[in-house]
Amino acid sequence: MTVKNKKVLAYKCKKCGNLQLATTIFCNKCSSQDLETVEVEGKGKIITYTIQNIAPEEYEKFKPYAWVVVKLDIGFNISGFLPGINSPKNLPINARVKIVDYDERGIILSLD
Amino acid sequence: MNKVCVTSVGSTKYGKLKESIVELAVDAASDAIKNSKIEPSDIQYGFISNVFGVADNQVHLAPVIMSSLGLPHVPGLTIESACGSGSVAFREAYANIAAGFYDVILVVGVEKVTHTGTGRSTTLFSYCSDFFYEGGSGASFPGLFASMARAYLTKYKATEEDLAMVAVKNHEHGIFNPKAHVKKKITVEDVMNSPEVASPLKFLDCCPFSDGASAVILCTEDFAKKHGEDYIEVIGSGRGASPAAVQGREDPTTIPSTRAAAQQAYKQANLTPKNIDFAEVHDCFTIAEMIDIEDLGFFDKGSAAMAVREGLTKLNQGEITINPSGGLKSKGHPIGATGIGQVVEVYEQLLGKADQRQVEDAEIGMTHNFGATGASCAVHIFKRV
Ligand SMILES: [Zn+2]
Repeated sequence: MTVKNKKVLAYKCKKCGNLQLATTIFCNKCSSQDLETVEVEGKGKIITYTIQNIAPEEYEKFKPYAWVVVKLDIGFNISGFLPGINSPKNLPINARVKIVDYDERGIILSLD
Repeated sequence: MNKVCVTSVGSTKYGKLKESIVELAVDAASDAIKNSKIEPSDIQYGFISNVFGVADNQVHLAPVIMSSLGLPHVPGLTIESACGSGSVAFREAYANIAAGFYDVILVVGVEKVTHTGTGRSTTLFSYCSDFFYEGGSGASFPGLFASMARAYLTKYKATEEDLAMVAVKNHEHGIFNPKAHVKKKITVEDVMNSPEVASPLKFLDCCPFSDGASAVILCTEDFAKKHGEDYIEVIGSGRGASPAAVQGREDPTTIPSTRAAAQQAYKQANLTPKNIDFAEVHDCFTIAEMIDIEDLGFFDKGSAAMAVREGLTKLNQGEITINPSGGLKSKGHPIGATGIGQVVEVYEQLLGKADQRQVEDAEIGMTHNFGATGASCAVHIFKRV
């Protein structure tokens, strides 16, 4: 689980201050094992994405959607599922997005 | 370290094939053995690279293949590293011979997926991603590369037509490859008009799902000298790694594992990118080849589109021939076999056996093959002896 109440569970490195997803166990900058759990805001901007015209079998029923990579305002990236997007015209790079849910499709985002 | 040579190669055709996964592997391996003066009993170890054996109801492939070859007492090991399995297995064989553990190793790459159909294959391939973040959030394999493509097209002066030109070029090369899966000339318009798979990538930006097997025999230089005149030498070998998920990378327009593996291989061979006459690179999607030829140091960052537009990577026409075999795009991409198939191409090129796709005066060749979106990678440099 990486998301709780629309916040992202992160680890903050007590040695170098690096923030990362709480699914990576040691600091990915300095390898320190001394990390604390923090909740960070699930808001950021799109750095890149794709619209899945052909989706993996179990996702065909969820079309149209975009799979997006998001730089959170806090500094690190997440990726997730953005429903309802059927054309690049509707999703400029740098568009603001926020986390709205977490379900079997992973992190669910919407335009902010 | 011992010098390591490739002394024989073999390969099936790539495409939609009717043979079983074991039959394909055995065809390629027996081809490699029969093409050489090596006796089956000379083989001391077998590395098998494969990803989706389970799709053809067979895992624990290595002992099954060794038994089918009549070598039931020769140990084998199956290696999986997604689409980079072949080059990674090759690297392990290389390291074992260089270190003196063995003198002769057979490496066979094999894949059999087309019988599962496009939908199932798309799902299977999505398991090669960092599934928790990618496949499990609806990203297909083309989708992940499409996200890299969008980042590239946003950051640099490159267009979807430039991507299409990579496909056009590799299909031109593949026409001359008797073992290629898709032997068909295509135009930029064909690519642009083909259906979108994952925007901005279209059907003809993507390599096909292929079946096939390729095999190579590695040995010490002493053994090669005693057992045949046709061998090439491995002069550089490098391995790299990247964050498994695209989200973990600072810049989605470059693949860190390629850079690391290439740097090691160049250093060991004491060469620079300028010394490489031709390279077989991992072009699972057109965008991948653009990123590869920059990460391997052949062109500056952001200039791959210009290089492709000006024909600098075409067979015997530009600065460096990229993918004379037709690449994954035209030759096909049986994922466990691909990295070994690249070595087969380099072997034939360096020995002057590539017929109409022969790179003129080929002395130094490179293979570059990665797993998934480049989470794992191996680069090798070879020399004509
Ligand atoms: Zn740290």
